[in-house]
Amino acid sequence: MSTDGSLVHSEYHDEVIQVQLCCANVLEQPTIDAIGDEIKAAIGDRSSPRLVIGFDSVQHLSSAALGMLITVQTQIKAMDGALCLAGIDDRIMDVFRITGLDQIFAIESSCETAREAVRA
Amino acid sequence: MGDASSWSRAWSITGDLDVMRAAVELVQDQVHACGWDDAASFAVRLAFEEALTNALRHGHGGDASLEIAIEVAIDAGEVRLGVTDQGPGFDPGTVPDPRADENLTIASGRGLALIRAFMTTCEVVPPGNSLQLRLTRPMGSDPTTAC
Repeated sequence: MSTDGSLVHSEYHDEVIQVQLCCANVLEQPTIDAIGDEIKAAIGDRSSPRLVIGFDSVQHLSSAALGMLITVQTQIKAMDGALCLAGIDDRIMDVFRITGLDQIFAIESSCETAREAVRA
Repeated sequence: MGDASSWSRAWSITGDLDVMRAAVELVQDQVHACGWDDAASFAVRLAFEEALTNALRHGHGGDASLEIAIEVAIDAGEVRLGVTDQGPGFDPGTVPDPRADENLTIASGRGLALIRAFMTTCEVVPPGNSLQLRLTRPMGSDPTTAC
């Protein structure tokens, strides 16, 4: 969690919204719901949002968190936007591979390359 | 209870999130204390967390007041976890494959697949309200002497 208690840190790079997850454990439903709300707030009412979600601080991720990411992906697609995940640890990457979600999410090694990906 | 290289305990917890979190962290600490590496700790934490969540959400319909029975036995060669809820149970054969194309974008239903992938064995005990999980040390690996 960040020093101000936020679960996410949002930055804006031109048209790209970059949301960095600030907690090590994204496991429990209340935490996941709160992160989903903060991501929604970061997107706001932008049309065709370009969103990067950074996972550099995340050490554990539950199936419920995957569900939240799928919901975000669905919303972004419905808004004709683009989503890319970045900075995912090898073990958490296994979670994406095992569930087949590496096929439906764009995933880059860093937020920098992810920003380029959603701009394309 | 256990000696320096093993630990076992059977107890019951409610579905309160703080209580479940404490149970998961206790088991994770004991996995480390018994000489298992970070990969094993990650696998056990993920599987235990998903099993408890399934017990609360599906077994108990979200009723956090109902107790979940836990059995844990850890030694240098094996981690065994049992999670039993008070629900009617489920038939694992009816759980859709979350990796099927038609299910990939559904927001739920991945917990059991993750448990099965990260643990060596996952047995659903009839009538389906009890999961018995085992993680065994890979052949040829060298148990540490940390504990």
